[in-house]
Amino acid sequence: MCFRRIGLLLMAVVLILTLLCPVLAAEKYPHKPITYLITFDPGGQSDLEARRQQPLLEKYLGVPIIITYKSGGGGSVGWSELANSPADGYTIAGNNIPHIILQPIERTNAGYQTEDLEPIAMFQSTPIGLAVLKSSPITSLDEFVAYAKRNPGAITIAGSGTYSGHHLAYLQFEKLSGAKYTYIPFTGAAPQVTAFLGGHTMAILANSNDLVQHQDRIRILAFGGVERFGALPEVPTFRELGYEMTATIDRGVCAPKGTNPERIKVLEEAFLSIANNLSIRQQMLDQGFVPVAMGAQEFKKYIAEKTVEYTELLHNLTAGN
Amino acid sequence: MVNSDSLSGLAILALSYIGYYQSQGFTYYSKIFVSWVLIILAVLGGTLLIKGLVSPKALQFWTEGAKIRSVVLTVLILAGYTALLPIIGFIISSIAMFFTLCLLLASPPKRRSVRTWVYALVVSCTITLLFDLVFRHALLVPLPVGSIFVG
Amino acid sequence: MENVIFAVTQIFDPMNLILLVLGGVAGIIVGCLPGLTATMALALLVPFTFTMPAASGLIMLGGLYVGAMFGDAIPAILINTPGTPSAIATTFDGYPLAKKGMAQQALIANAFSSLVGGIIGTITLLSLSPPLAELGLKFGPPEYFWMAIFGLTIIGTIASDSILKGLTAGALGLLLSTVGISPIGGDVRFTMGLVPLQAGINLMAALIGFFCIPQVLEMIETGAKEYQVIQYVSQKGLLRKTIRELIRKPILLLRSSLIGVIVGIIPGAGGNIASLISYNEAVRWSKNQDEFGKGTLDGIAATETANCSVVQGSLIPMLTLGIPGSPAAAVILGALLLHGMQPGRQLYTTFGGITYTFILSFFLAVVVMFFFVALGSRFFARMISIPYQYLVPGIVFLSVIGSYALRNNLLDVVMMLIFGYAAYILRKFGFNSGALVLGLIMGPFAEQGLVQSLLMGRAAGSIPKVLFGRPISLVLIGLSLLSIAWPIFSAWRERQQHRKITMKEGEIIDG
Repeated sequence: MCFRRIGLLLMAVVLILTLLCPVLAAEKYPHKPITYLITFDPGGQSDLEARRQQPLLEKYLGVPIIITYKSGGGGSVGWSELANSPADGYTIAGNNIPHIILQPIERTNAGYQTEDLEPIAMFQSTPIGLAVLKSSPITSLDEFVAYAKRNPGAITIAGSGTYSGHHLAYLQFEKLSGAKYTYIPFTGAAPQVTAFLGGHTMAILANSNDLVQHQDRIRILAFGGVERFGALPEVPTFRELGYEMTATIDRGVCAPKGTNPERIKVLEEAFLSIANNLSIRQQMLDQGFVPVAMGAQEFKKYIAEKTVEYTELLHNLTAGN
Repeated sequence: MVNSDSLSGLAILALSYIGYYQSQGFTYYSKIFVSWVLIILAVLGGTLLIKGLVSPKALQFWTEGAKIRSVVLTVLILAGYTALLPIIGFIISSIAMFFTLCLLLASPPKRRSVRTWVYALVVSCTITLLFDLVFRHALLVPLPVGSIFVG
Repeated sequence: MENVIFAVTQIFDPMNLILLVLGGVAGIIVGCLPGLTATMALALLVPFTFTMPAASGLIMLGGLYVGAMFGDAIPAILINTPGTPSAIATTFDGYPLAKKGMAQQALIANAFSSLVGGIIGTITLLSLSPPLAELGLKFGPPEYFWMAIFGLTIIGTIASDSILKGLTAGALGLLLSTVGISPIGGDVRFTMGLVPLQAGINLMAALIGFFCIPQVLEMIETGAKEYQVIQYVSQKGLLRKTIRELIRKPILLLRSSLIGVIVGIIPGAGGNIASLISYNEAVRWSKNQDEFGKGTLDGIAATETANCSVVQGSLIPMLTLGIPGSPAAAVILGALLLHGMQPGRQLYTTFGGITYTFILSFFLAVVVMFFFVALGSRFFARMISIPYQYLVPGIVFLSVIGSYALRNNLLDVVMMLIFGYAAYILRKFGFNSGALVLGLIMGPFAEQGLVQSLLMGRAAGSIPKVLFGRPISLVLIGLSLLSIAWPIFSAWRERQQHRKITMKEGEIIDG
């Protein structure tokens, strides 16, 4: 008799513990290393940001952060890999706007859809600027457009990628200014800057950090973005000069769709705390970036807005042609 | 007698046609370089074909005394290894591959001795585990675990 | 100047020395294993440098880069597989040397040549950085195109027995290089629906496939008995003898180093191109051209000198302008930025101490690496003596892990195997793997250079002026023509000689 009661008690205890286990385990997220996937080559901007964040993330989350690289296709190889990764909160990836919006639209099989990537936080914005060399006779955006109107297609503008952020900025500008230029795509920031500095193209549409780095040699005509670029306040924005375009490249992190929202919240807080860290912000400013601290919901809304904007833009442009 | 140059020339021509067909949907700038390369390939393939017909050279696929059976078996073992990697995982497939190849390459009299079998097994396991350790824990490269082990 | 003196004291600091050796040894190991590249290893090491002072971190990274350039020749010589793409050209003479039983000499030659290359490279880095960096900038799309064409003419040298088949292999390589997203136009080409292929064909997986697998299959085909012929035989005084032989060719060493530096400063072009061009030039200017490809130390000297001086060459534009001369330099640039140092003048003024320490550490690095590899050559060469039945599976094993480790992608292993089988069959038909790989490497440069130049030409109103009218382009075009004409010319000259000899013999017999 006694034994049976003890037996039942034991079984009850075991049962309760087993039921509690998932709850206990859930409390302890994260409890194993998190993989931070970089969809570009090591040494690039996304890599550098991740490395900046890594020590702080490890401290905040208490687990190792393993940075791995899966580059190719302008990021599509990495993002499609993320989309197919288990949505358990242990795999995240850096994401780039407008890349993750444009690629699924343009390619019949990019390997992922924009909605497959669940936004966690956005921490950096890079306005795209239009620049010429200091030795160029062109001194303002108006002169730039005037020259192009007199010599259609003669101005060569270096950019990074086809149907990428730079290309879209170029197409937008071409449409708004009513003049014709020639866009020359390169495979990345380094090749485009090299070609421009060497005088092989007349102008460049580049990320703010590259322009800041070489500011002694160049003259920046205008910047994208809603407000003037903090590090170079003398440069007007496209908007101010009458061109309704806000060309920027934004960086954030994302997780596979379907990841538990609680876990996303944990990650979001981690990344936001880093984004608000003064020393990190200062580093970004010094290098020519605009630090941003956008949470998951806001980020999602931002992506949705940009998706509408870009879809419309692409339709107008292809229809116009 | 298989005419080696003609055969390869023909294959190259076929390849350039396939490439041409596949490239039909490309936009202008993506097509420029590809078209040029395909044209060059076709010309070279055609030249090879003609050269093969004009001065035929027999194809000597296997060298003198070639161990054809060993080569074919190796090809199959390697293909099997690659196919099994995602299924039964790195460690088991590697040990199996290593062990099998060791035995295949041992000279026939030795093959029957227990000592060879034991040595082969020991070496296979050691090397596999050593590399697994180095890659998985030191270099943090996740090696395939095998789908039958993962949920 | 005080910076330099300060730097000299710093490089002998015990902490830095330890890190240098650690980085270097890690580099040698990484270089030794096909599938692990210097770039990848550098990326893995960068986070470890956070906690260190900037100079120490950079020294370790530099040591790794240098070590990899020393180590990648080891598998190239011993098993005909380049450890990194920079060692492709080393297989041309390295493996034949090993087959002749001269593996140890080859390894010593590798160590010494890399030492010389590194020293000359560092001297250039130290003294001529600013003007050379500007020269690097002058390379625009047309120049990249002609450089690719020049690179392709090397096929004439490597496939000298059948140039027709060599060209075909090269064209095949060019076609393969177009797989993926087109650089201009953005189309997805030839990926057959496989998403990882959008990144293009992974060069390292292709290398392992084209070199390793056919090698293995051929070894199996000929069987153990044939293979046992080349066994390691210990010899004394090899070190001194080999070095003495190499010192007698100062022009070869100097020219190869300079080629390495110049290719290094061209952004995007790295060790693979440098060693190939250097090999080509060595053949062209050599008095015994026939020896190349059959196992001559000159071949190793040419390639290894260049691939080591590329290290410093690629750092020239990186330090002065922030433009990396090679993918590995890009990772080191990342490390610099993370330590708060921006490339440019301030690197040499505000951060001068750190920068000069970094640069001077290369002198030390190459010397240390030289001792490791030269003295270790005895040990490495002995690896050929591993029993055949363990060696072959071992190589297979390395190939598979190597191609998997690249991107943690099983698809790369499958591709490696497919390329391997294809290369084996192609070799039977007389096609040269080296030429194919050449096409694969030069393809992107040729395509981007061509199409970008076309766009530039259209904008400027005249395509020929852009493609043919620029000074550096003209030099490259000239070099390419020379490169094509030379093999034809020397083949013709050989036939003349041959005719003279047979005629003379005819006379002797008749007369």
